[in-house]
Amino acid sequence: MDTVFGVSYKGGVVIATDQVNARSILMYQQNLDKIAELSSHSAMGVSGPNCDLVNFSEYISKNLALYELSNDGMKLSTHAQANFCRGELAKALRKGPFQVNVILGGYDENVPNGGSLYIMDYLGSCHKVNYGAQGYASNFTLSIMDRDWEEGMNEEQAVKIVEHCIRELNMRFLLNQSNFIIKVVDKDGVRTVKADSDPSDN
Amino acid sequence: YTTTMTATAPSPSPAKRRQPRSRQQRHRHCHRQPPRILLLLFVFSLLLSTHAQQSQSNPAEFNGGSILAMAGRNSIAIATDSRFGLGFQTVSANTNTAASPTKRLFLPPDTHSTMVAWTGLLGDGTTFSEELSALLANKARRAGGMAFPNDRDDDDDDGRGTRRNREMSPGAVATIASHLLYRRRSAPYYVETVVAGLEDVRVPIVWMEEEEEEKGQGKEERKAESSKTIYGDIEGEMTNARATSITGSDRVSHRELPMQSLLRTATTSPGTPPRQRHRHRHRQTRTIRKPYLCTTDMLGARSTSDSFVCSGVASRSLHGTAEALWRPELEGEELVEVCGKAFVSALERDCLSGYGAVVYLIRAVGEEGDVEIWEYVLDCRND
Repeated sequence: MDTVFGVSYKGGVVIATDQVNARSILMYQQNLDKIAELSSHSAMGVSGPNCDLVNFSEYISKNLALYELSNDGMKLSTHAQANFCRGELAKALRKGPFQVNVILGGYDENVPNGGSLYIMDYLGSCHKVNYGAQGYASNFTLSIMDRDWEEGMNEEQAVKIVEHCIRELNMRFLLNQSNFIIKVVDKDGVRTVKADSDPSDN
Repeated sequence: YTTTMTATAPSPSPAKRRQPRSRQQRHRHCHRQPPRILLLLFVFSLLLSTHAQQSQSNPAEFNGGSILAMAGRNSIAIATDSRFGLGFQTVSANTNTAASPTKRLFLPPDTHSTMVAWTGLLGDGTTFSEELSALLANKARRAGGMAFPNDRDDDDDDGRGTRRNREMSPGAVATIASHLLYRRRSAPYYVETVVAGLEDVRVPIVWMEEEEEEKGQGKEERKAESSKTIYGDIEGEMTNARATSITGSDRVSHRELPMQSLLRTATTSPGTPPRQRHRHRHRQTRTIRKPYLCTTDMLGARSTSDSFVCSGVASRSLHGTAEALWRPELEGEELVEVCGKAFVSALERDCLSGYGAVVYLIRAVGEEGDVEIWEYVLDCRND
């Protein structure tokens, strides 16, 4: 049900998710932040039931923080973080699986394009991609990204693609997900570009 | 989710029914039973949909992917495709290129002429390759100085058949892979592996002269036929063969018994009495690089072959195309071409594989056991 998708560009990645927290016919909130900030230069968009979503993103981000503290401030690269995340998903698969599908994006200085995006599912498969989407959103947005994405884009173009995808979802997706949160990860860290507010907060 | 088809009895044709009386009754009668052809189409579409849906729920076929490995003369070609998908949806088409960290095909540590490839669920396959690599690296470390792949001991002359380059043989790698998979018997990895490599095998060299003296006619034919054994033109290469010391040759020949008998049948005519056949003036052996192909299923059951092995979602088609196109004694680029053709033709008919094919050629060069690995990228249909 959740919409998570991401686009990488030259110098970083953009991750966008919807902000809906709902069960059955009830909408609990429309301002849930599903993009967890893992470290100073990486973020993870998570989709799945709220319990696993929160539990898993906290587990991964706190373990990465612990690694940094235990190892003299050494930061893990995005590739390493993605492998750690995948390993946790794979380990838990046959014990008590985290039913989350994840898009992890981060910025590293020594990576050619700066940003790298990894798409992972609850079965433990991890794959580095230029753009990706999880859930039903993939049916609507992958073709748009196939068409619009180019090598060597800048942040503005990447955010434009994301907005194009959001427009398409609002037009054609059955579920009404009007609020989206967009975060950008670049050399300056993780920052929120756009976050909609809950209508009840007025 | 299963569909149940209730069997409907075939309805009798309208012509045999009694004609209804009134015009209204006739009209009602005509619409009561659907034509049989629509029923058949309905059944077929249901069958197709359930079969198609099975790949969505079957973990071994969920991510797609196929592999074909073929053996040639002192060489192996192994082809994999590049598709990674979630059921019908293709997520990525660069699974085996340098850009992707998840490779379905890799060179295990401590070996330099073996390649391991796998198909199945990507998550389990990645875990499996990590486990296998860690185990082999651990073994190499524990074995200490005996296990470096580039270790060449040129003074090795004890003639006991020790290998020049001490690496793990592909058979050993396949055994380890099989055990790793069976360890998870209760909750198996949905991974089917293919292990392909070149094995060092000592083969006795058979001198031809004495047999030629004894037989009269037809020695040219026999000579021609005898020089072509399954291990190549031994007679032609005999002049270049280095004679190794033969202490302990009994042990060597005893160990090589199956191959010796193979050579004997190829080099002798059926009518010769046994005593003459077994007379060898010299017992010389040489090491050849014999291709080794093995595939395991998800529980670790191994099956080896001298010709080809295949695995993955297109394996049914691959068995057919490879069987049709393979022939013995292929070498080098020709082997790559045959393997590539068989692979791509099978892939074109399978929607869960494709989007690029890569063929690796493992070729033995020289006499020191050197191995070259070439990578060929093929074009194929992207759908």
